[in-house]
Amino acid sequence: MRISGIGVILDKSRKDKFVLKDIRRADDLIKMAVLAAYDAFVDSGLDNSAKDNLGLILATAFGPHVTTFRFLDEILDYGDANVSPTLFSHSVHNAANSYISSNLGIHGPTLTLTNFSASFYQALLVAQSWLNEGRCENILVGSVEQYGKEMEYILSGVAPELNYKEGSAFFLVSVGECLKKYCSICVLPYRDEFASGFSLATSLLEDKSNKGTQF
Amino acid sequence: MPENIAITGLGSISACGNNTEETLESFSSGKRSAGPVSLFKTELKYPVFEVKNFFNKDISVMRTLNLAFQALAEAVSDASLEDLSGYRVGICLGTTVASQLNDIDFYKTYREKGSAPLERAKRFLNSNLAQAVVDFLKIKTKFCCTVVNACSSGTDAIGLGLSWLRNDYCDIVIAGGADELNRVPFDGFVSLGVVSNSLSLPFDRERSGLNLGEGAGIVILEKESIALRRGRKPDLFLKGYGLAADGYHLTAPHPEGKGLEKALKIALSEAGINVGGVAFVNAHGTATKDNDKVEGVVLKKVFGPKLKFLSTKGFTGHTLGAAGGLEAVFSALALRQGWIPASSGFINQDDEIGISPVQQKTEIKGSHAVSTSLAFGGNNSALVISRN
Repeated sequence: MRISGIGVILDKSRKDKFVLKDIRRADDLIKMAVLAAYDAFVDSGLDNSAKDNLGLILATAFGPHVTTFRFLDEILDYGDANVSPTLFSHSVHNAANSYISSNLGIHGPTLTLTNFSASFYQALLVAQSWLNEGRCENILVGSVEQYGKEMEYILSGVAPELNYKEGSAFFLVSVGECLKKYCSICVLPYRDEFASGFSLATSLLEDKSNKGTQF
Repeated sequence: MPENIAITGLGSISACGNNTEETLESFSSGKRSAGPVSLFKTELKYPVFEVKNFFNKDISVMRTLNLAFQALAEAVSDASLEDLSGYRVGICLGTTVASQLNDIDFYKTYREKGSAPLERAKRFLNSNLAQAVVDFLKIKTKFCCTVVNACSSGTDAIGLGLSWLRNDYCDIVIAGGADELNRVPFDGFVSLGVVSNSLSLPFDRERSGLNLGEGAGIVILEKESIALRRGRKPDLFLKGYGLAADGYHLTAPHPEGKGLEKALKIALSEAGINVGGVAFVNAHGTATKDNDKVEGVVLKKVFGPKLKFLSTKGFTGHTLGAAGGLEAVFSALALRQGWIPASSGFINQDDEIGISPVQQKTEIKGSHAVSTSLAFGGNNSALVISRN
């Protein structure tokens, strides 16, 4: 499969009025994912007709934990019967994909998956299998993580070696002809090392040699 | 021609039975086992479908995992696959609760003191559903995926397993879904105003919302050639899977059900069958106003007014990420048994829907079943399960 679009968001304070007007109520995790997916789609040069069967795969380790903790605040402060439905609906892992699909007008297959390690690698494997099956010709595949002090406390205790950051990276992967092509990518099902979405995006954006790569 | 993907093992646990045999007894008798919440303290008074006579064997992981292990054991035994060595095995499971660190006691302590014992957090970190099953089975695999597509997670996990097998990534995939009844989503669903304070009435004119439940449903998917090589003669097959996004709203389905209609057509096309070949549809049928109206209208549009369909959520409650796994198991069992149970809770047809689910235990003819799931976020999924 080919990578024809890349979007990377590491700065959640970015003010992109066109995209953000529809996500102003969303949490930072959702905003980062929507912006990265939007950038990757625009970067690919695909037109809107591609959206009807555009696939969408999002990987995350911890999902919207910041919003989950805010929802727990509501339970503790106001009781079971007085919690915010908005916070609850945004605490579900696939809320980010919902925002992406509704904002970009995507009507193809959408999947959110989670794993504490290598979730982005799993997402790429799914993308490759969907393309092989002809389930869709173009897929937005990406990852997102959000920083939160509660998770920082937990991870510093159980996995102090982890460099815990936040951001989102998305790629537009295709089998058909593309206006732009960063590289071809072959996901090897039995490779032992995993790379993150960020490291792949960074290396591709720095190296425009368009050489094929194995991941 | 792609190889057939067989379903060689079934396992389930829910409020209507701790295994498939008990489930069939409940379906046959029409017994509904709802009651007040007993698993956690809450001020809310709504009936729920808890699994009875079940105790968490492993307290180092969440209850969701314990439910999954129970269904897994039955499915693996049903498939005679106690020894998985020598096979390329994938694990693909859906959940909602096990993906979230919604431990109120841990967070309350942390919030008050700025620190809290990490054992409860470790319990969450040990509970990534697919990874925990990999660890439980002591297998090595790169195909380990926890799907978090909200209420369609179980269906989508099974569909993803189908993709892995068709792509020759695996010989065998253990797929399905699991979720426990948990205070946090319980409060959340009540806040959304979609929970009924009486027993749910899927597709009924007077329906007033869903009841929450818990459980796990697991299927063993296997290349037919692998099953035949180890002496099994499969009778059940996973023939098609469709998945499509509404791209419409965070919590409400598209009013015309466009995503569901698309998902159904993709699944039927993959299976190579037309609508006349479908013996029955096991619908998502949560008993909320929006879901049942949209789903019922789409089912009538796609399959016609004579369709035999039902919702099994009148027996299980809405088990969230487990629902798709459980309903795939129930659909497969029905094909094998030759009957579907009454769609529990239904009495009066809703004229806005225009078709009615079956009201009594009903004999089915035909060899194909469809199981549908709709979810938060506008996910729509459909499986086609067939019997030779």
